[in-house]
Amino acid sequence: MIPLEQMLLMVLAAITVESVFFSRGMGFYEILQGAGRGRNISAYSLFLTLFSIGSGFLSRWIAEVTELDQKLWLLLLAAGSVLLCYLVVCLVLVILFPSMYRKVGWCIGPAAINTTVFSMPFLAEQQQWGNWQMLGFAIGTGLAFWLLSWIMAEQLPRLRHISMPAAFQGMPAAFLFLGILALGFLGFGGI
Amino acid sequence: MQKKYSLAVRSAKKRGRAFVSGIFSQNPVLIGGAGLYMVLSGSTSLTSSWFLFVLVVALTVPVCVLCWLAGRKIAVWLRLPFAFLLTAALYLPLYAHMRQLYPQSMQELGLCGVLVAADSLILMRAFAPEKRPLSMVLIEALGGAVGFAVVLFAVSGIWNILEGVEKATAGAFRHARIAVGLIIVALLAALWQYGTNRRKRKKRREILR
Repeated sequence: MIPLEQMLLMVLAAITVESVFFSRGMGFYEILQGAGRGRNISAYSLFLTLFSIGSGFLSRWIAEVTELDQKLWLLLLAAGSVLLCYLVVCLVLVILFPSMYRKVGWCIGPAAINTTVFSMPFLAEQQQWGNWQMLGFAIGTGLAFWLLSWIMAEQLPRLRHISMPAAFQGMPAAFLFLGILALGFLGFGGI
Repeated sequence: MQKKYSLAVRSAKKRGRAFVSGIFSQNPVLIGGAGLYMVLSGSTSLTSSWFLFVLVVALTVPVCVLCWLAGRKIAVWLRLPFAFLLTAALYLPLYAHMRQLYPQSMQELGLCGVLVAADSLILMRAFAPEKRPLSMVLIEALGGAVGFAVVLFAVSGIWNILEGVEKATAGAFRHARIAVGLIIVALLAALWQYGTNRRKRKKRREILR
């Protein structure tokens, strides 16, 4: 299979059958927070994708260069990679694009430090992904995050509407909505 | 002397209220979905829930204390990474120690056991928005951790019941672990909201009287 094909398949898998959100339950807090703020969901998703790519590749590269046992040191490597990516992105934005940093600064921290990004090196190691597959999965995860945040941003005002039963208004309805969405996504797995 | 005593009682009451609000009115899972990943993936058994709770408490307390000490000496944009670095650094010896003592249970936790280090439940508590006494920050964090544990054990208990039913339904629930978990959490959150609304109504009626 050619690398591009591998990558596109992983993008599809990350959005549907292997979604870290619906098959593993990660990142719902970030989705709800991002959707609740209702602004710059695209920037949030873009940073999440960048940090996922960065953490996956950097931890692999550092392990190869330093000849460390990746299994043993993965936690430290993953944490170090995420932090390095965060610092680089912050410094680049502050020095080169300060106005952009003022606009999107709020989402850089939460986009960098969350379970979805932190899990990328572990998933790559667990599933024995190649570089293209890892890239595809990170892009797919970012797209899935954007899609889910957009759906939730659209739905949250409706889920808080006065016509909802008082006990379900707001967060309970949001959880229920995500649960029903997760049931729908199970269909991609052939259940 | 009398005044001092009443002040101490008042402060103890305030702390007690902060702890209880972390469990009920400010429950981090039911209010904002913090720690939802651990609730959905780590509630496979009561034992794994217990170990997750121990990990969360053992990380929350020192992270809160160290972040409180660091306080405003750290720039705002560096606070979250600092808390994350602290959590990851503290997690390593803790995980190694627990794996030595309970290898089977820690193995069962899998990826969920490792990703505790980046969980919002711990990191969101790291830096309080304004300067508050350390004891208050700690009590709030502990209340939040206990609130998380209440949801975690409730979901775990419901899963135990469902697993009994599953034998008759050929494992239908287990295939949809996340979806079923989210629906259970939604029902718990609705129950909690119903209780809160009722209490508020009762209070309002008392004031009107």
